[in-house]
Amino acid sequence: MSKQRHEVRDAIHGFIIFDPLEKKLMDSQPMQRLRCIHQLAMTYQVYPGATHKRFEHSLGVMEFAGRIFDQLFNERERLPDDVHGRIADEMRPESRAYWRRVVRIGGLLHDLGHLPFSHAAEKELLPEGWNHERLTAEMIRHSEIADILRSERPPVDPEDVVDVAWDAEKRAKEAGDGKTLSPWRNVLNEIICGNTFGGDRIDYLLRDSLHAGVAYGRFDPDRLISGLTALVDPEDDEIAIGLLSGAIHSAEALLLARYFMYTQVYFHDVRRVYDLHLKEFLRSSLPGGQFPCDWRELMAHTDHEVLSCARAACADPNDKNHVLAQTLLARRHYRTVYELVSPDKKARPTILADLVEQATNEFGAERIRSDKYGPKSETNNFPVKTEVDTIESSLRVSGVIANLPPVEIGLVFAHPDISERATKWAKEQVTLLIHSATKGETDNGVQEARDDSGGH
Amino acid sequence: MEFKKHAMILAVIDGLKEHGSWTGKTHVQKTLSLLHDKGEIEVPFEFVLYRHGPYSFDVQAELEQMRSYTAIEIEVQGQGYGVVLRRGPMAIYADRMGELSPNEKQAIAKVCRFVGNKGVKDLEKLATASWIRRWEGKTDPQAVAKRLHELKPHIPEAAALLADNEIQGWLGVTA
Repeated sequence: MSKQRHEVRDAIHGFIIFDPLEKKLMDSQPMQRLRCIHQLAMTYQVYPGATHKRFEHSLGVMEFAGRIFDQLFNERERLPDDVHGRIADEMRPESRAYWRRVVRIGGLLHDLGHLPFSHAAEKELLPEGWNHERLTAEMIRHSEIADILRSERPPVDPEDVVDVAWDAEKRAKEAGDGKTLSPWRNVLNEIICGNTFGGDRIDYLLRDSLHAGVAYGRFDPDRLISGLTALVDPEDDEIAIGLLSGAIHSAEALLLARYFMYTQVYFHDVRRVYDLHLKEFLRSSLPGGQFPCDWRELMAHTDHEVLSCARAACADPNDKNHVLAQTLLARRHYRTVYELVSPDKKARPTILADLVEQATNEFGAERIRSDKYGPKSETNNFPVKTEVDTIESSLRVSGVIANLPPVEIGLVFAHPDISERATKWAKEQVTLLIHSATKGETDNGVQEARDDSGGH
Repeated sequence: MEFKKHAMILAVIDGLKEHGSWTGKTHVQKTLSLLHDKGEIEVPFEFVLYRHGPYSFDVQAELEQMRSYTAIEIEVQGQGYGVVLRRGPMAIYADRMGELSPNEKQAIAKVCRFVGNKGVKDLEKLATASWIRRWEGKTDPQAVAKRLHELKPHIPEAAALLADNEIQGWLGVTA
């Protein structure tokens, strides 16, 4: 008789238990490919321990997704009557067991379509309209995964898995397939992809901080999950995932963890410049300068192939990509000469673009690179159930959540041979640019407006 | 930086406040969506149908951008849900850099009058009904109401029909 219960050790969860269907999916080629894709691209150039892969993260998301589902829907007593009334069909035992399975599988498969080095090169190296989420959906619908799901008894509909695994926000924003999820499917989608309580986020923060060796990403996932509750959100009268007020501090800790992980790890300046160099190398070395958007062809591309190609180019001075490969593998990356800070932007909103333009004129486009992200803050406005059973916005309940600053980076880099000179030059230019902006304000009244408002 | 977009958002915030609106992010989103559907002026934001009706990720990104250089500020108030948007010290900079034409100002004033102090649930209904008419090509009120209910099961068809009736007035639909 075949085993009905399997287990694997995991750095975050201890043991992860899984069933025969999940095992078949884990052993499939699309899942095994994730063993060869770094979770954090070349962050290991900065944090040497950050060499973990998408595979173990996917197992972790499956585990968290199942736990969140159980917390929300496994006990009738925990489910408010108004919520139960809306999802009575889904709460029938066989139906609930089906959806629990779909959610765990969605968590397991949600990253299948990642390109080599995860997010590092996604936007520029796929044709318009394609991203890893869409490729994931293609693999779930058309690869051996779909056969495995359909051959299960009772069968699992691949489209149900796609609906819960494809981040609804990104699907609406980028896919344009016009699909609007039902309130029930939206909640299931949130269990995996949600901004605050999604299993994806909970797992990657904990896992990335552990492997990078930084303390910023740690928080108490057990307290957070035990505080989750399904409710009807008064803002839109739809079922949603909310939090019991007693667990608000664990949500604050998660959001702060995310903020610090972004500023200290994900957007570390050297990590970002490695992303730029990686993109340049891939653009130059891939046929047509892009990855294929056919999932069958993509299966042949992992970090291993890219690194092998880069090592060969690095060792061969005659290779057309020799110099690009050196920036990646011989620590010849460009150096940071300016990092945007909030006071500079408030003094001159266009300072980054202005400085990049001037730096390019001064040193030449070949020796200057720039990068920017945001400003972006998450939608941290979620419903909180108070001790007297009223529902409030998290922004009212928590001053910490209401005042989390947006994440924004703006970076200018220079070739290592000119970095010292360029750093000195950039410092002088920034002073001049801010001075001219301040003078302009005095001339046209912006400064007076600031003073009147007691502003920044 | 696209100051024209910022100036337009600031004009909407000013106009909504003048009519007693709560002026949260949803109010600004739905007002711009209605302005977009009306088609009198070019509204430089893309909208998609999302969880609570038409939504623009562009608008959200620009709000973040504006907040980062204090063209707007956000405030959590004692009553109500979510944050209130208000002009920040650098709003005047955005106004000047992205100056609006008289036509644009007039169109924005008109949509703000229509939106007035409506709450987010009403705005969700109205903006979605408008979307269905404008972008899904439905013109029969029953069909619009049915589609609205299908998208938002918590909105009864009768309420959807009322919303569609009101939106016909806004879009200038003649029987």
